[in-house]
Amino acid sequence: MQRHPSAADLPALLARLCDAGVEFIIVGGAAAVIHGAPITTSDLDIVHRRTPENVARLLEVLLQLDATMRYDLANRGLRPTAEMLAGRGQVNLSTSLGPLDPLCELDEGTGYDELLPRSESVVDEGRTLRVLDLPTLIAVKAKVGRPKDRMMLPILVATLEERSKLGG
Amino acid sequence: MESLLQEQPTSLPAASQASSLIAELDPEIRAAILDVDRTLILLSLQQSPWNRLRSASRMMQTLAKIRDAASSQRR
Repeated sequence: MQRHPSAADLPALLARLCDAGVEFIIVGGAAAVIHGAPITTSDLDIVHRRTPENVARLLEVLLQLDATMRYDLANRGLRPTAEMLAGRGQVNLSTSLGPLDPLCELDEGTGYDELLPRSESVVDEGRTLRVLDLPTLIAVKAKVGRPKDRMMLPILVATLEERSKLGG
Repeated sequence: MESLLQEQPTSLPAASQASSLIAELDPEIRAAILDVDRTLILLSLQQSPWNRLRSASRMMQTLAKIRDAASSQRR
């Protein structure tokens, strides 16, 4: 029986990360939702800054959320480590607030610092979120080319067009 | 709390980016863009970013409950 929810509580997860001072950029489906795309997503994908201090802040939040590796078929309850979060891979976690995937790099050699100029800051309800900008999100989804990403592309492009019409 | 939305513009004009991005997509995807229900996008854009996240999460959590209930009935 699974211990954690299968769908992420996106506002609660983001609030925990923001309040802990973790530096990260929201990518994937949650970024699309923030930009106004009418889609749903079951996980939260973030690209975090890989300084030792930020990795420590992120790890502390993850451990508070009882994070364990999601693709551990033996169900050993493996915990994320600072080494994993400071590396180059993608860490797929199950947490008490749902699935959370900290990505060290979105693409080879494209980490937080490289993505920062392609992100927007969104201030709402007293918190600042940094989100991958919509054109870059579309370009990433088009490049990845998995069926689930291709299915999302028309909605993302239409969202970009509607935002452009509204002057955003 | 009152929403203080400050969505900064991207470094390039969004409209020109959209046209170049669309031109690079394959014809099937370009055709599907015309089928997107834009009223749903406009409704979403009327919400604040945090409320968009709340709506998406509630929807996904509801779907997960239905899926779990359906799978427990099949057992």
